[in-house]
Amino acid sequence: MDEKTSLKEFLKSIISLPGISGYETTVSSAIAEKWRPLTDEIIVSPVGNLYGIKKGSLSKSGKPSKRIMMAVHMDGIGMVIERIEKDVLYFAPIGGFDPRILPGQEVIIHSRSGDIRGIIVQLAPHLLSEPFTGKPVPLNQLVIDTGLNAEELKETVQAGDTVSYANLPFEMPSDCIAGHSLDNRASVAAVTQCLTELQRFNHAWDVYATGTTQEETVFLSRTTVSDVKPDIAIAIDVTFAKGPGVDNYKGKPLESGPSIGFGANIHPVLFNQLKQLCEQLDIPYTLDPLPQMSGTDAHPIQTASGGVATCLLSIPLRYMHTPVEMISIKDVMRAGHLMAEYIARLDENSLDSIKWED
Amino acid sequence: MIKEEKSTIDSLPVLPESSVRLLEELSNAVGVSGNENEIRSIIRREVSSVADNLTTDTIGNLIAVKHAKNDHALRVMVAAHMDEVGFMIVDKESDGIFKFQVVGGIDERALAGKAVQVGKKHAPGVIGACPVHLSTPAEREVILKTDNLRIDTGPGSKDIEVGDYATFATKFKRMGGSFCGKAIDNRIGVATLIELLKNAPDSIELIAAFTVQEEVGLRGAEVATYNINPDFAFIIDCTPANDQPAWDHSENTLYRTKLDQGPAIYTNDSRTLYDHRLIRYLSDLGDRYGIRYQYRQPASGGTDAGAIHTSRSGIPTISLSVPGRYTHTAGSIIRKADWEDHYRLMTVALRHIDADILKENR
Repeated sequence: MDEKTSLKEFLKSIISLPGISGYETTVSSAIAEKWRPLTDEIIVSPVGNLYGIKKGSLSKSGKPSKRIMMAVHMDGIGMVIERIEKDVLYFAPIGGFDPRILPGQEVIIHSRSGDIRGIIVQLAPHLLSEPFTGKPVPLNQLVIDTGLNAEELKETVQAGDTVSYANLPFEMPSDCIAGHSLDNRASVAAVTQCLTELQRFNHAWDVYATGTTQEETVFLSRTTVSDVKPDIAIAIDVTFAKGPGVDNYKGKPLESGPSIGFGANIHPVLFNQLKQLCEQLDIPYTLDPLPQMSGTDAHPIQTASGGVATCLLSIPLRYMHTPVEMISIKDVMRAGHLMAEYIARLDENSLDSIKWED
Repeated sequence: MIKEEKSTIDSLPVLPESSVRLLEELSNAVGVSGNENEIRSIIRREVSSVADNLTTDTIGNLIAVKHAKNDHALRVMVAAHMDEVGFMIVDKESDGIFKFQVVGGIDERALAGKAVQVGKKHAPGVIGACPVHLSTPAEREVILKTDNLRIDTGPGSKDIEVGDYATFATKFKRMGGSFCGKAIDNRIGVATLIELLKNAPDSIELIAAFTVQEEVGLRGAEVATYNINPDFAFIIDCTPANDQPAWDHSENTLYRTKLDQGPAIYTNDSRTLYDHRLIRYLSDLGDRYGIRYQYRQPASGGTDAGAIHTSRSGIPTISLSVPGRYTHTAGSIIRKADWEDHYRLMTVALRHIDADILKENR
């Protein structure tokens, strides 16, 4: 299997697994297995952050280590059961999404007696608080139907059980993949591609491939800085791709390569280095202006534990926070390749260049 | 009226497991109103060896006939519509991005964020939505209209043209004692009718009409019934239940049917006041055999009966439906037990049907 096919298969496998914010263990275990042969050590922190550590030549030869962290959140959006009413289930969101995409979604309820299938549905007007004629039915009045009757349901499901999207990924022409949780498993695949390429490189710095948790809710990535103490951090996430619903500057074309963030959230030297490297290596890229904060792990990491020089790479993705997100595997591979080339160029003195021009 | 010694539920044939697999195949297949080819070909494969006569009429109805042993037997039509609601590609906007319109009645509030399959090759596509990050709370109070949504088959997709049909991509699933699928309305009727044809009693001329275009105005049934001109017509379909609990815990008095209560006998709907002799005939059989049944609550909506009962000089007509939830969405749900009783009641109905039923005045 070539590298691209193998990466596609890995990405499809991890978007077929549950990994709701705060409940990442299933997907993080699968990621750990993939990273284990590509790294020297796998560690899971007490709050669930995953570290795949690949030692560089500096620390191997006994010199003080320099560390680069690639931070990629593993969690996705989902739901939690709120209450059971006869044979239907009311639920609440984990993470942010537009309730208008929910009616008709297939879901899996992770109950103590195992996974239960269900579908999110909109009930008839006479069963709602008002008919909602010509208006969306609000999230708190949508329900999940499991096909179980009231007695069966009562024995199976409990309030507090989490709910994931059930739809399976599929491939589209031109190396595109559609499915749920591509935000941010596409970036997990990019980091995996980077680790794969690093097997062929000598690199001086220690590399911390870091799977972070709870990005969609409370940003536990701030705790990774205390664990890793990185000299440089790259956050990898997804950004809006141009397409139906997105036609302004915020949208980057699908297949246009990684988008490189700049603004207050990003160290300008790192931004320039990444941009110049893309030019040098002829890697397609776009620029991602961030006039405010990035809304990614770059945000908490930049200010954690005394501050970290932080940058952000983003993969264009259509229909963010719906179960039919779409990315191009080409963009995933380009992001991974760019990081590997960047890491391979870091040497004992690289940190000297990361300073402010005054 | 009912002439048979043995009249217990145990004496009746059981819906075979193969019917569930057939329902799965039928529900996953694509047959939007006006393009029922895939469904017709599955049915033809299933019934060609048992039907005495198999024809497709000018509008596309597939008519399968099983002759009676005797001449002058009653000619009984059983109709099940093959078509489903779906989408048609109406314009190519850019690379892999298409405008579409709805075929049949689909609530546009349930379109966004779904996987679809497009064209003869079932090419994968999605109906996307604007990311929640880029919309305002006020914008999210407004329905995502079909005109503002697109089917996206990905950059570089080929072989998709204006006029191609699409459906939700939901795959058939067993969920506890239920089935969930995109087109259970009315592939459940199609699967039942295939099984009835395979086990047809030789006392009647059974004319199985697999009709087209029910979802766009009962148009196939109108043509089929004129050509068949039967003595009786039975329509088998899937009917909305709306039997869930109400938000404010008040009594749900406006349900249409209830799941787990057996097949639903229609009494009246928007287009049809069903023949009370046949209503009574079915309920008497249910009582006698101990087969569960319920009455579909009188209300709007309808079945192919609307076109069938007014054909020529008028046809004595009844509808018997399997209660279903969320029909015309990405996934509807029925209970297997309701379907089994539906099949039992239809089996005895065909076995005992008798011209004497019509001796009583309508």
